[in-house]
Amino acid sequence: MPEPRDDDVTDDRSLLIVLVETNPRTWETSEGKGEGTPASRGLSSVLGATITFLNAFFALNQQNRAVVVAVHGDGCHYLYTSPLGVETDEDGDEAEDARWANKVGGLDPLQSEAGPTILRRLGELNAAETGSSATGAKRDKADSDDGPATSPFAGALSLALCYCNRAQALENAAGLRSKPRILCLQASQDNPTDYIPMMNAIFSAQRQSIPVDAFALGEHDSPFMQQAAHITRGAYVKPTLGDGLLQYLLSTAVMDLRSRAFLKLPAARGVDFRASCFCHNGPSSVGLRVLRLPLRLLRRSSRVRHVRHHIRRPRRSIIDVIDPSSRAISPPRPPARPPARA
Amino acid sequence: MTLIGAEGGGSESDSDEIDAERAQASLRAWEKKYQSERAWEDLEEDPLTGRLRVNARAVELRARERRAKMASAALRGGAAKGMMRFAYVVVDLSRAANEEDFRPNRLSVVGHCAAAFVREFFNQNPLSQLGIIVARNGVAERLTELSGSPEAHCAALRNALDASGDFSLQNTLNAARTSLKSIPSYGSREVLYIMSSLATCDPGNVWTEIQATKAAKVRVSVVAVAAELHVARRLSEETGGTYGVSMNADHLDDLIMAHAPPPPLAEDATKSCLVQMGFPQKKHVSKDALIVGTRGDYVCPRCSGRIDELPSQCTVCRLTLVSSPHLARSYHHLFPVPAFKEYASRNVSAKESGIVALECSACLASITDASLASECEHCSNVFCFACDIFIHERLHNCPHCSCATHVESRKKAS
Ligand SMILES: [Zn+2]
Ligand SMILES: [Zn+2]
Ligand SMILES: [Zn+2]
Ligand SMILES: [Zn+2]
Repeated sequence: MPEPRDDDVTDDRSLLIVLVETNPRTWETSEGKGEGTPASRGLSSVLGATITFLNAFFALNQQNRAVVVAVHGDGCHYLYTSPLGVETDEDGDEAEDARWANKVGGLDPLQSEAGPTILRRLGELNAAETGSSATGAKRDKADSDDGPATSPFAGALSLALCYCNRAQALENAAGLRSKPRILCLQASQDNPTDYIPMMNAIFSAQRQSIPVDAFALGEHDSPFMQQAAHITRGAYVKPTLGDGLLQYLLSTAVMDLRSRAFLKLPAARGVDFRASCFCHNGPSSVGLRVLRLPLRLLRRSSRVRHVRHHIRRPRRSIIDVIDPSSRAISPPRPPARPPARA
Repeated sequence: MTLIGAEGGGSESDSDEIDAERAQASLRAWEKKYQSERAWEDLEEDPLTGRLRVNARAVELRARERRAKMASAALRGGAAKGMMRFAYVVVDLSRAANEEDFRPNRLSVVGHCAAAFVREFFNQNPLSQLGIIVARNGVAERLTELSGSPEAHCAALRNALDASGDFSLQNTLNAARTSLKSIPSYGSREVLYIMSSLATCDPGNVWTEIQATKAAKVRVSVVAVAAELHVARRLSEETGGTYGVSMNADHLDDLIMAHAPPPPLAEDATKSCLVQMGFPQKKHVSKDALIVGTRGDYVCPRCSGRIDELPSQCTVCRLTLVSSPHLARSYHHLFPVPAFKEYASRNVSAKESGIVALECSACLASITDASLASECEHCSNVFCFACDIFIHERLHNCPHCSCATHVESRKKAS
């Protein structure tokens, strides 16, 4: 039962991709820390809110579909995918009726499976991780002395965009209109080495007009997510009530794109547009751009050494940005890391 | 006035004869390529309606081939890219543009392509500047000066689409060269001709103008709508540009769009130098704050002046201001995703049968045709054809490699 293409009257079907951070390292360290943030209440409370939110989202429109991706320590994994609309359409009426005969609480049974599936798959994921204990334990040990945990959100966004691309191609072929959007639930801090893949993913989302809604669940703001939301015209939320996550989700992320136009969505009041330094991973506000040398943003303290370093070993393709200003706005310094090798 | 026609050719020297012969040979090669293309083999009969349609798989395979060719060309050309480009697009609006060999006529097709090119140019070269020159009635008219706003160019071009008179190569070249003379030494200077005319009507000797252009280190590329014009080919060869003749409207679009990514940089064309620029932060200004000058949202990091939009120059201290996302827009040229390998090339059983049962690691689509599966060399994940294209042409990230480098960087840090 495909809708007519001109669906100005009917509600939009939405495809929502939820990227939820499940990295055990993050949750180990964040639990109980940073009073009043959702992250301090642990992963299970966040997952609970997410699943309730998904059920509300499904209840809004029978044709709403969702995908949940776990952003784990070792990569990204699909936890749950709704069947894409065009696939179920082929079932025929009888199968459709049979499906609806045992519906639960107003939800399509395929949709009400979301919660249990998510929890089961996440359990499997954690079991697999502890199973491969030899390498896992070693990494955990090495990891734990070093700064705050981070998770690969750039890869997760890329994965989500690939999925959107496929869903849109399928739906366009079937004459339907698809309105995907992405919701990120990030508890850890940004990893500055992700800067380039993150930016590539953000621009790709912008070109496909896919809004990225970002929730910073931890203590710190996430400049990457601020920029993602700002550039793709999504919402950026940093909840201040730890137990109110569900309410934040329901009020910002549940509506389809058409209804969103009538809402006043929370946005970051300021956006940190500073580029980050490749060598030291520190944000920089005034840069010297060296054309035809490696692109780096360097902090002033090491400026001379690095200019010399890059001029001696120029990498032809790249451009350099060096911070020369002694009056640069002093940014919140990220933990010291050794400079990346050229 | 000298009139140089398509068949008349240029001057008389021996080197010209050799050039002409080389051009002949390449023309023959071109025809050969066209003959071996066997376009009819892509057609198949639709089992339901009985109509002919283009075989989707053949088209996909051809697209992959084209992309592989582009990727290898990019590698060969070296990764050096001129990041700040100053370019003029010369649109030929002489009476030849009214010809109706394209539907509805050349003028509208060229206008459409040029507008699309302007948008794509700024997408791929965010800090560069572009201007438009139109050639009609024998003179060059500078439609827009060099600037960084795509919408202004497109609007000006839309209003100017009206063709008449002759085309003058010398006048347009002169207009572009004199304007490009004043740009700073770190920028690359380029001119792109979109040429419908088969003749040029010049007030003097066009060859002296070409030599002057060459001396000014301006790279001139020509996309011919109709047929090859000797003087235009010589112009692009002399200045290090490219020359292309379109076969149909799609090909014309391809040829023009090929100029949107930054060209390889000639070693001596630009010097490396330092340009100071600031990355303002967006800070909301309260309603009752007392501010002299503009009430923009952005704050200059050097003098704390307020700026309306980016990229621009600070009105107070003249610092060049950009946002870091602006800069980041061109990063994917610097770190392109290496081309994926064919899955079948490594997996012998898949190669023999041609059939596989795989799931795309990015979008979960099932892949049954082995020739359409590709594999990332770094992370050994398998991707479907649609994702392969999407990752290389639009996303510029391998999803699993992004995760892997993240994990890697954490290990290294500890
Ligand atoms: Zn360095
Ligand atoms: Zn200033
Ligand atoms: Zn795929
Ligand atoms: Zn990969």
